[in-house]
Order: sequence, then C-alpha cells, then structure tokens
Amino acid sequence: MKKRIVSDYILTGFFWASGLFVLLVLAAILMYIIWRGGPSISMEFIFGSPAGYPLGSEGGIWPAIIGTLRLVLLALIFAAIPGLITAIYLSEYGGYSSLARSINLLIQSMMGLPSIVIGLFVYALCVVELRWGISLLAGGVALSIMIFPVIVIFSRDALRAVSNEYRLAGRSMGVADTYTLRRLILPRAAPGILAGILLALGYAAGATAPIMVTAAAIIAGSSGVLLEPVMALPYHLYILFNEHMSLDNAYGTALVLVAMLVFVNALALWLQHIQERTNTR
Amino acid sequence: MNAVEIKEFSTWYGKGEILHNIDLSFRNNSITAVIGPSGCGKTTLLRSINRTAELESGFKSQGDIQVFDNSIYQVKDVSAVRRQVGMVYQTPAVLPLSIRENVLFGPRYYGEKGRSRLDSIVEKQLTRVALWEEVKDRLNRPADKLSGGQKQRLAMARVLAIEPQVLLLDEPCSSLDPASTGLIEELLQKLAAELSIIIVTHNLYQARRIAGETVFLLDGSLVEKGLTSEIFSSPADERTRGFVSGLYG
Repeated sequence: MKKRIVSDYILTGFFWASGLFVLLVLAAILMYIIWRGGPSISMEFIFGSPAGYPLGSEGGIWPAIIGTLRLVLLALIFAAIPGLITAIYLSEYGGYSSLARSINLLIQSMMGLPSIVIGLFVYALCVVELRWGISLLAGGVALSIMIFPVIVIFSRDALRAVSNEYRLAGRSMGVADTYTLRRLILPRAAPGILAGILLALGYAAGATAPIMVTAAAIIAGSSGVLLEPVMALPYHLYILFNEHMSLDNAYGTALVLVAMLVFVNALALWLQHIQERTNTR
Repeated sequence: MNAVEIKEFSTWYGKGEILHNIDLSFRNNSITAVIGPSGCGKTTLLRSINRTAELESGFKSQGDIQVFDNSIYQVKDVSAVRRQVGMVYQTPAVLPLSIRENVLFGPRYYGEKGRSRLDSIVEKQLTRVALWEEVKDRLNRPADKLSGGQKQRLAMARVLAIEPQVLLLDEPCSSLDPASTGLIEELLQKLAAELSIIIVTHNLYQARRIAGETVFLLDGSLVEKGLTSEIFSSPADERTRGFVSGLYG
C-alpha cells in the first residue's frame, strides 16, 4: 500500500517536471530572443526599409512585415471558405459515408505533407507552368494549401462540439438542416472556427519553406502587385542569418515575428476558451 | 375521434426488433400515458409517430401509422409530419437564443413575419405554457438563464408555436422538481382541450394523475390499453398487474 502511494508521488512529480521542462525551454527561447533582438527594435527598424551593404545589414523590415501580412491574407482568402465548406460537409452532412471518410483521410494526410513539397508543387505548377513567376500570388497559393487542412480540422471539430440537441430540436420540428445550421450551429461554433483560422494564420505567417521557392525575394518593395515577388519575415530572417549579414537584425526580425505569432495564438486560445465555455453550459 | 391510429406497426434497428406488431389508437383532445419498463420500446413508439425514429441509422418499419387519417409513412414531405406532430424531450432543449427567439424559431422558419404578428405569437405561446408572466420583462435575454422547469415549458412553447395537432412528450418531467412537475401536469390537462397528448412516463403516479387512458408496453409488444383507472385498479392482464403494483420495473 505504502509502496503505491510512494510511486504515485514519484509519477506525479515526474509529470510535473516534464511539463515544467517544456515550459522552461519555451521561456528560454523567448527570453533569449528578447535579449538578443530587443536592442535592435526601434521605430526605424520596424517602419524602415532594408539598407546598407550587404542589404539588410542596416535599415528596417517594414516591407517584410507587409509582405508577410499580404501572403497570409491571400492564403486565408484561398483556404478559409473552401475549408469551412469542407468542414460543414464533414460535420453536418457526410456522416459515416465513404466520401466523408475518404475526405477525412485525405485531410489528415495533407496535414502531414512536408511544406517544402507543397512549395515545390506550387513552384512547378504556378511559377513555371502557369508563368506566374516568383510572386505574391504563388506564395499565397502555397500557404493556402498548407493551412487548408488546419482550417478544416479545427472548424470540423468546432462544429462537432455543438450539442446534437439543437440539430434534433430543429429536425423534430420539421425545420430544414440548413436553417438550423445557420441559426444555431454556426453561431455556436463561430469562436472555435475563428480560433482555427487564427492558428492557421499564425502557422502560415511563420512558414518559410513554401514561400522560399514561390514568393520570397531578398529585397522587394511593398507594392502589393500579385505577380511580383515579396519580402516576408521568416525568409528575411533566414537570409540575414544564413548570409551572416547582421545577426542583430536577424534576432530583431525574429522578435517581431514571434511577437506577432504570440499575439495571434493568444487570441486563438481565448476564442477557443469561449467556445468551450459556451458549449459546456 | 382518433388522432393517431397505429396499425400492425413493427420497427427494427438493424436486426433487433424494437416494436412488434402494435395496434393502437390515441384519442383526440385527451392525454394518453405510455408506461412500461426501460427498453420496452416506449420512446421508439413515440418517435415513430413524428418520424424522428428514422433519424437513427438502421431504422426500419413496417405497418401503418395514421395521424388524422393521413398515413404518415406514405408522405414524401417528412417535415409536414413533424410539424403536425410535435415532440418534447426528456432534457429540456432550449436553443442558444433569446427567450423570444426560442418561441419564434419554428414560426419564422414557416414564414411568419411582421413585428406585431411575431409579438402576438410569443405572448400567446408563452401564455399557453404559463411562462408569460414570469418572463415577459426579459424576452430578449438568453434562454439558458431560465430554471429547469422554465426551460421545459419554453421547449413546449417552442413546439406549440408551430401549432401541432398532436403533442408527444418523452418523460418531460423526469429531470424536474415536484413543483415544476405539478405545473407542467396542470398545463397538459389544459392543452388536452386543444390537441391530442401522448406522454411516455416512468412515473406511474403521473400517469394516474393526468392520463385518461394508459397504454402498457412490454418487450416491444402492446400488453394492454384501457382507461387509466381500470389499468391501475383492475388490469386484464397479469403482467400489467405486476407492473403497476411494482413487482418489476
């Protein structure tokens, strides 16, 4: 008996320690980035353009911030609506049909697709075959393929979490499923769906591989033309670091990127919390 | 006049037979209680009458159910059947909307428009379930703030708002306190003047208090149907006697 209590304590302690360890690693990364990148942050760094020789060793990262926002926005436009429609099909209409099961399997596999492979595919199809060239549009397409399964899975699960009571209440009054979906199910699932979209947005903002071969340029203006290359934060960071241009600016860029992602993820977590609270009430 | 007429009706979920060759009729303007031990098919019988039993996968049925002389299993438009035969569930299902919009959920779908028309529907239906006085000052507040008994009455108002001719209730009081139960029983007796009410209940006292007639089901078969007073005092069948005297449950 006593032995079991002791082993209970040891195991609990072990679980605690594991959690604490992960938190410490995370905190260490954040602290390090703040420590190394903090000094580079200034109004000029955030709102200026890259300058100096080699380019990027001085100046700011504004075009990269704007480029990342544009890429992410484009990816969302391409992925969010089809993703949501797929999720609605899977949760509300597909049931256990073989089509729904195949789609689920496909989405799950898409999740596991290495992002560089998506990048190469879009490179071959859009950049070369369709002659878009390295461009904002191609990058948006690549990122949208990457985040599509994320949006589908989060939206599907948010819809599934809504109590079946409402669907049954609607049906037992002879009300069409689409009406119940619009009036009851979608509003109820909205925070969870939004949380999924935000997480996908963060995922896209941080991805380097898919845009490396489809959209990103070492230097580009912030014109926003669809068929021109763009700068992007993660790629800029990669170049600054890889070409040893300016480690200080690399850490500064990392800090800006991480701050954006932390903000987006925190927002997503908060929305998820709302979703859980409303659906357990 | 009979509101519901069930003829040689059998149902299956997959291979398991749930209801076996039921012949039954339910009178209009009266309350009929359906009693029987758990798993005897009471709920399936009830759900068959508004064609929601078939929402479960593997459901099959044979035979005929007529609601006001209309064979509902011949009807193409299921929603018309479900509109005519309302259903109230065991757990009070309030929708995540305001009190007012709960009542209007069905009417809006079926095309009711206009502020004054909708207002009058809300007042009428909430009055019917004796909820109007309690909530008239907070119609736009979320319905999930109501108490359990109020929620069940709101669920009834939501169903009644599409003016069904038959009201099915599946153990509507099993999660409610005695005071709320009493209130709902009183309501049902009033509503029986306007429609046909069929109530599944585990509470034999409830059946005795409110039902004109009582149906006893056992293992998916009809054992006996008769006036409630007779079912409880001098049942024809030995098995009914055993059940109502509490020998098994």
